[in-house]
Amino acid sequence: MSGSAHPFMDASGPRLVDVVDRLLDRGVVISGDLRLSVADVDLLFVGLRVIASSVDTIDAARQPKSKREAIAP
Amino acid sequence: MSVCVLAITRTTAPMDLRGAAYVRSTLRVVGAGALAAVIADAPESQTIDTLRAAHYQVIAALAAKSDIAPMQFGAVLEDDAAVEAWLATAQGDLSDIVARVAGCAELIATVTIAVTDLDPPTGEISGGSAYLRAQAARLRAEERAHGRARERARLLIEAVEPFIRAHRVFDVREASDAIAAADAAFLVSREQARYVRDKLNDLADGDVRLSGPWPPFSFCAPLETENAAKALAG
Repeated sequence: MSGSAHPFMDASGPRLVDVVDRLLDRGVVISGDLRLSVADVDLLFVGLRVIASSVDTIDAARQPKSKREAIAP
Repeated sequence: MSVCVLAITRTTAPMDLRGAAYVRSTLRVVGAGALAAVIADAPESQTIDTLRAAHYQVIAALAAKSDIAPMQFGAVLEDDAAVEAWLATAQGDLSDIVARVAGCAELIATVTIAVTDLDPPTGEISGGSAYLRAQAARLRAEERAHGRARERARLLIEAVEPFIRAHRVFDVREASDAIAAADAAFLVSREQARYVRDKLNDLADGDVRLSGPWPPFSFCAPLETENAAKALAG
């Protein structure tokens, strides 16, 4: 394939960084039980489909469902 | 040692990892059946911002040279064996995703709408209940603005629908609460990316920001059946 003819965007620039931040939350998700760690420090065990994509997401995952729904955009 | 999972691909896809690294961790590939995952040992003592930037950089570099399905940031498993087990377990769903995004890139149109039309205050104008009413009015105004942003995004989609493989619309947050926004994501073949971007550019006004091509992050979750069938049919 001719991938080099279609370079993907450099994520520099304040607007583009915002887009990349959102994109990073949209990739393939691992289902099942997994261990979340940042810098090799285990944060929590989760089941089902919850996965850490940012500190905000981890905080949201720790909150009761009703509270998450209340603050969801 | 935990491992970060960065991308999924077919075992038959060409994959050149020479010189590539996730922060300072060397990339490697583990496979199961027809699928392979690009992984790296989870780096130590890094900030979230550093890890997020590294995650994107690795995926952009891989996607420029091969067909991959990018992983959501934060996908961490116990070790290589756990990755192999996950690939084997999720083989069907993952194969669909990899097939859907093969040969494709993603364009994003971010539609922004000012939050206006705040409901006028009613009843008492001070105290806790007035504050709560004002907050509720604010939320209703934001939802109306998000609705207008989504509608504008759908009009953009309709305009380029013959040239795209799939689409999705996401509500997104802007830095300012005075702005409501929606992302229209377009899955396009790499060959069509420039053409579709030019068409979108013709349609965009001051309320629309275009970006891309990006690796196809927004199309790695289940799509609506009709949309997915179109994507798979190519």
